[in-house]
Amino acid sequence: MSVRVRLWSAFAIVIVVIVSLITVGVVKSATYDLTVTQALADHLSADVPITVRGQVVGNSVAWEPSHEYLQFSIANTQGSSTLRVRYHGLRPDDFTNGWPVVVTGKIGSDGVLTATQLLIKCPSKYEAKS
Amino acid sequence: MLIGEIGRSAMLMLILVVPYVWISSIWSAMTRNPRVTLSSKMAVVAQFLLVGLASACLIDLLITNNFHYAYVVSYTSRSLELIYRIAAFWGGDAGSLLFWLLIMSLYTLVVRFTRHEDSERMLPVVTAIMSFVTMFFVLVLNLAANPFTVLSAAPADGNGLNALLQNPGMTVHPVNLYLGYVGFLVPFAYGMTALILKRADATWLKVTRKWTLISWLFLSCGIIYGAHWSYEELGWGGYWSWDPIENAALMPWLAATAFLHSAIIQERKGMLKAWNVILVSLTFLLTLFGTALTRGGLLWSIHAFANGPMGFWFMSFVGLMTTLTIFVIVWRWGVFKMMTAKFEAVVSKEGSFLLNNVLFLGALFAVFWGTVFPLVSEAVTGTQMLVSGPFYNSVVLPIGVALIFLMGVGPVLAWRRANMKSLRFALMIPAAVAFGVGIAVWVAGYQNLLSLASYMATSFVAASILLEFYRGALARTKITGENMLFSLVRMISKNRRRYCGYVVHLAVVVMVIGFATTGGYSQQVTVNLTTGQQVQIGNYVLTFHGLETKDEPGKVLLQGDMLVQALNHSKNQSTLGPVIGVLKPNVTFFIDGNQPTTNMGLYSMPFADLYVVLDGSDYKTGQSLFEIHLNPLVNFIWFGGYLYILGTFLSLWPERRRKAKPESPAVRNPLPEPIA
Repeated sequence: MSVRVRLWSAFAIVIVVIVSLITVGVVKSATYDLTVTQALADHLSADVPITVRGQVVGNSVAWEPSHEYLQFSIANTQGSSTLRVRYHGLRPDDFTNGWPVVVTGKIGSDGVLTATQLLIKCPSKYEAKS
Repeated sequence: MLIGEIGRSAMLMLILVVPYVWISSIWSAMTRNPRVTLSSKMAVVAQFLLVGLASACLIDLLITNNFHYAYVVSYTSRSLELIYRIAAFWGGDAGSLLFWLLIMSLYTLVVRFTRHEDSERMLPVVTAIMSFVTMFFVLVLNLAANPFTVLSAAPADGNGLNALLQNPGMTVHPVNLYLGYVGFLVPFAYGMTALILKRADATWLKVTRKWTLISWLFLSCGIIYGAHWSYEELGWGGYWSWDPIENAALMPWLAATAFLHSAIIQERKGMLKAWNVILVSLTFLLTLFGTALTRGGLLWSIHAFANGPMGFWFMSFVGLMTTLTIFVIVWRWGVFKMMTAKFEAVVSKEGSFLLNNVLFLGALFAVFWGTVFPLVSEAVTGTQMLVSGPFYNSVVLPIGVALIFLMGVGPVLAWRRANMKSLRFALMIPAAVAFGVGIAVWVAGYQNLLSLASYMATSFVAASILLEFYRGALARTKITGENMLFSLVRMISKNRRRYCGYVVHLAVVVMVIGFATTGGYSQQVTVNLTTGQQVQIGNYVLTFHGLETKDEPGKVLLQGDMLVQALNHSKNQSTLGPVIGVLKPNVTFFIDGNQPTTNMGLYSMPFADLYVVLDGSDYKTGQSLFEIHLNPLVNFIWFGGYLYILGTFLSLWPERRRKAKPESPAVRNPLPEPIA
């Protein structure tokens, strides 16, 4: 076997390994990325983790520091539909009305999303409301 | 209003000047007429002065709170500190594009007036390519994102800069990222020039490597500083969260890192010319692509970029530049046919560099695929899906471990063909060290497998590199009779690129130890404490000494007070040592009614960080809620980062041009090959 063929065979194996890692990774950890409207409309199985983007509804935030328990609703951009979220963990800064957040978790039979992850937007390039 | 009008006029004049730079550069390249060349050089100066003038005008408007301008209203307010008014220059969409243009025109100026071999033939073409990209930015700034847009009525005050961004990071992190990002245009322009002029030779590579290294250094500084800032800010997901914006910075970094390694093969062997041109082009195109993705609102990011027409502009430009690049590479493919050397063995230094490139590009592809996955899945299935941390960790971490292993083997591999016997001998000590460390760590009770694998891989690399230093210095000592330390210093200074490259590798080792330890052994407790109560985390005891309020200009701080003591273990009992530190986590309330911010209290030791968040207090019960983290070796990430910057910087430092005393060739260059 020439050096060229051996070299390419070695790289082919490495490439196959990387591609399989990517494929397995995608299958195992991809979640649906939905807006609030889509999350409410989609009849997904409760076992499927989803990521929902929305804006915090200011007067819905209930924060119990002693239990580290945060409940709030997120709304779509028009504010016409809302999704209730419960989260065990700390309340992030900038958790105000209209602030964009992303939550990942599962929607239970009661229609509430139990979030395992809650992220707020870093406000770089934040376009202030005029 | 005068200043703003001057700024706007300067930007309008650029619509004429930049195309003139482009046309006159092409003309100069074709005719080599000295008058045309001079004229095009002067136009480059004018271009820089006009962009500088527009930038100065915008900064003036921001500093003086001129609320007639929409941009000033959006990002500043009367109470904003001066430094952040200046930072607002790159804090918003339009301003950051002008900042980008400023850096680009500065780089064009520097490039146009440098001199190197064949510069008279190359520079007009390089300038033409750079000014073509500059034209795009001038158009976008004038048509789609003008920072000098006037409001019909000026409000009394501006919206101000978000409190989270009022952080020293705002002056360091974005600036470095832009300096790095924009810098990759220069290697790209040189790459294309080399092809157009059919000169894919050493000159091209030398200049390109230097510019890539400079841009790579800035980009790395920006990424490392951003990670540090994010670590200290609650809710931003720690030092790295695989956010699309973070990925947008990482992708060109990976491509550039691959280039810095494969460039060495071209330099030594004249191989991989085509591949290197493709890598620098890819790096540049990825900077544009990342900008298009993250500014267009195509992807959701925790960095809230504006959703606007910017995505369309940038995507179209990425398409145009990619097409042009592919056209030039295919058109000039014949230039690469002059390859002389061939690979002689798989196990060789050449082979290891190639494997390095495959791994870096594999990681790049994984990050790319993960980043665009929402768009791809939506196009294919109609529903957006996304992948997050677990996906990237499951793909990129194994590739990372393989790369670290390669870092240990690469330095001892010979060019052309490695001798298996001497390879085994050279790797024996590092392998023994790795196993020794692995067993010691396991016996000490640290049995997290991924962390363990990382410790073994990093000690393998560290031993291999330190042995390289030792062997080199020893060989020199034997020939010159100098003492070991002096010999080591001389050896490094004479082979700066090679040994500073190793320093960068050692820095990566230090950083990986930090990642592996925080990933595997961080501890966290959440407790409610009343004054006088204690809590233990790891080997530390924290005593809560109550809350206090502090009045500061424009804000009130509610601050917790905690004392830190370490536990001393003797035979059968543990005793509390003296107080070693104070933690002051606080919540800041703003008088202007802005949302309060939480600032963590940090007690940083070389080997661990105590990180405390005050997350609420109940006046009825007198209890305060704290989240306490013990992050072991997290500082290794930042120490490694500084070492990395130092190593790159020393490698870049220009060689002294004085004649060395004649020495025997073996002493002058005992191990001549450069590492980066």
